[in-house]
Amino acid sequence: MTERSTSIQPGMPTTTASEVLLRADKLTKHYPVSQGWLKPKAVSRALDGVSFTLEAGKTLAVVGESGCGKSTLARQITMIETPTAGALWLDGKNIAAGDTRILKEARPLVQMVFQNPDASLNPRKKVAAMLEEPLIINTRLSGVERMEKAKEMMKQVGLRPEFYGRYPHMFSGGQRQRIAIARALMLSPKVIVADEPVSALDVSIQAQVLNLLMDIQQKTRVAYLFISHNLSVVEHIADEVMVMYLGKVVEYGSKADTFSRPLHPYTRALLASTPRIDPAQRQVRLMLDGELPSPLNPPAGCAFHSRCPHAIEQCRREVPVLEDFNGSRVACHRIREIA
Amino acid sequence: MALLDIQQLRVEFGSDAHPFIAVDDLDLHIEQGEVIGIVGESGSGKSVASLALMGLIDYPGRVKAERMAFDGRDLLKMPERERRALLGKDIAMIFQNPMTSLNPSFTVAYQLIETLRVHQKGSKTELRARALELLTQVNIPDPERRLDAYPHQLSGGMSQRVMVAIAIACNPRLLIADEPTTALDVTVQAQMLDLLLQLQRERGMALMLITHDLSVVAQTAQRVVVMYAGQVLETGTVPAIFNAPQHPYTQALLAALPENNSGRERLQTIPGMVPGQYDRPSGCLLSPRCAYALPYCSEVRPALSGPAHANVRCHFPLDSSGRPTNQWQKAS
Repeated sequence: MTERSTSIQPGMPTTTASEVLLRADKLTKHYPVSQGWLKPKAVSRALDGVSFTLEAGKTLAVVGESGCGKSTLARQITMIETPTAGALWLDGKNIAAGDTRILKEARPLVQMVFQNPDASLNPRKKVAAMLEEPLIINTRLSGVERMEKAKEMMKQVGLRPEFYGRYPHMFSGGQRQRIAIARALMLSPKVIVADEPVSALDVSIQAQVLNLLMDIQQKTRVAYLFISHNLSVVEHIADEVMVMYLGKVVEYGSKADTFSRPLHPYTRALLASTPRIDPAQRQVRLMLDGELPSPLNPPAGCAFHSRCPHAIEQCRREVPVLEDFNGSRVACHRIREIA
Repeated sequence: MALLDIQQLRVEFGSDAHPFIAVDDLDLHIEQGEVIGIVGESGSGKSVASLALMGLIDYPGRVKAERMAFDGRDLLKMPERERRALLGKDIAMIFQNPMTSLNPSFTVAYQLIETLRVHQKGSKTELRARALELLTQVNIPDPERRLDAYPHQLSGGMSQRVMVAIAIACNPRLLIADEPTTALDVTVQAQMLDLLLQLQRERGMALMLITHDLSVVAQTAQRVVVMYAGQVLETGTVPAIFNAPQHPYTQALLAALPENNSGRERLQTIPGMVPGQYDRPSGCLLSPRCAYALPYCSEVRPALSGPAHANVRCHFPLDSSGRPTNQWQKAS
């Protein structure tokens, strides 16, 4: 099921020392939005030319406010939707082209863990049924083998295999999230897209689930695309951080760089807005006025200029491109002056 | 005299024979103009306590208290009519999710003026002018236009500002904010906390901030109450609680934060989970999860003790270096 294709597609670099699992190339998703009867449809640019790479055993955190395109990105990577433009290379195959044969092979390799286990687990199905369902669809294992695998997986995520026949409501919030993680792992995926996996959990449970996610990564070298708005969680779990604003990447760099010297004014504002326990870590509040503009009608030029303290005339006219700067990538006209 | 003085508040649900105790003998004092943070995990009873204070616990829930006095007058003993005049006016509350607490069928103006009409007199134009003034005070851009907007036309942060405007409409002396920023983005959360603190300073009102986010409390409150499974485990000033917690639970909670684990591979965790209705331990409620628990802890339930502003509910409270005291060494 998971045998690798040996043919190398054009455009995909051959495997280097670090194994690139997933590469997005100017990934774009536009949604048509109805404005009313007889009015032309507007276009919401939910995802606008996003490029990144994800290596095996690494975690890429996607950070941004609601409406910035984080979840749209997750829907493209999990192949729930087909992107409007751009390419998405998974293990050497372009999964953005909509080739059903490729999609069928690729789908088991990417799994998802959602924010709220209360909503993502079917209350009328037993844990057994939920864990076995992916195996029934994607493999030819017998019933006994499936049960073996499901029980083994429950052990791996720290659940007692005896709870096999229980319903989700018989578990606590943290245990339910473990079930959701176990379900995502059933087909030994290479990439797990985790959309705010710990934000519905209490602090003490959050720590348990984060530890579990890291243990699994060490054991299986699965790559995480970790979507979160909680920067202290991101700081703990991520290897690389990608900051998004209105469907575009504004900063993309290693965790150490992003947290020790954030470049883009938006990243700085996000870090400054994050509440801290330690007064020494609190930064001068770089307060952002207002909220995220509508993606239907984004500001001209740099989308962030309407809230940026450093905006000048150029920012209102020209769209900045993501360029290398001090080892990170950042999209800002004034980066040389403000860095 | 304390603005709010609650003694032995107890909220129960379920049957008389086997009640579920959501809030267990809660004592709470809030001074005029004070910012107090109430922290706890879900199921700790922090929201239920505030609902009981607002008189929002319906049958079959039962509210009992030795004393629940606001400004010297006992809320449980005063006539219903008087209490209704007080609530929403002198004590106001903001809820977690603005999208569900605003009525989708009415405009912002209607919902704002409704509160004003109940508690203040005035003509239609006067009340509308006052509503406009309130929206300006909570920094809503273009308030004139927003007055006639419906909740679905507002963003999350904007709706929460409207909720704040409704809450401060009658100049409350105590504002209860139940997870006011949990549903909001970080940048909007920062704006909202600044707004609440600014209003609190300008008006000299007391603010009771209920949250599960320890860092929000650390940054905004003066005093903290830590709750667990319906009980107060520890109270103290912000620096005291965050630098030298006396209760093992507070210590473990702080240690579990990613922020306090920088450079460490694994996060420190608290094993197990908050006890529910049927698995409440007989002794200290934390004893099954506590790192320092002794057999004595699971037999005898500790009482809240210590000086007035630094209470702790533990047989072996921690000293300033985080080690258990009271001959814990000898007993173990």
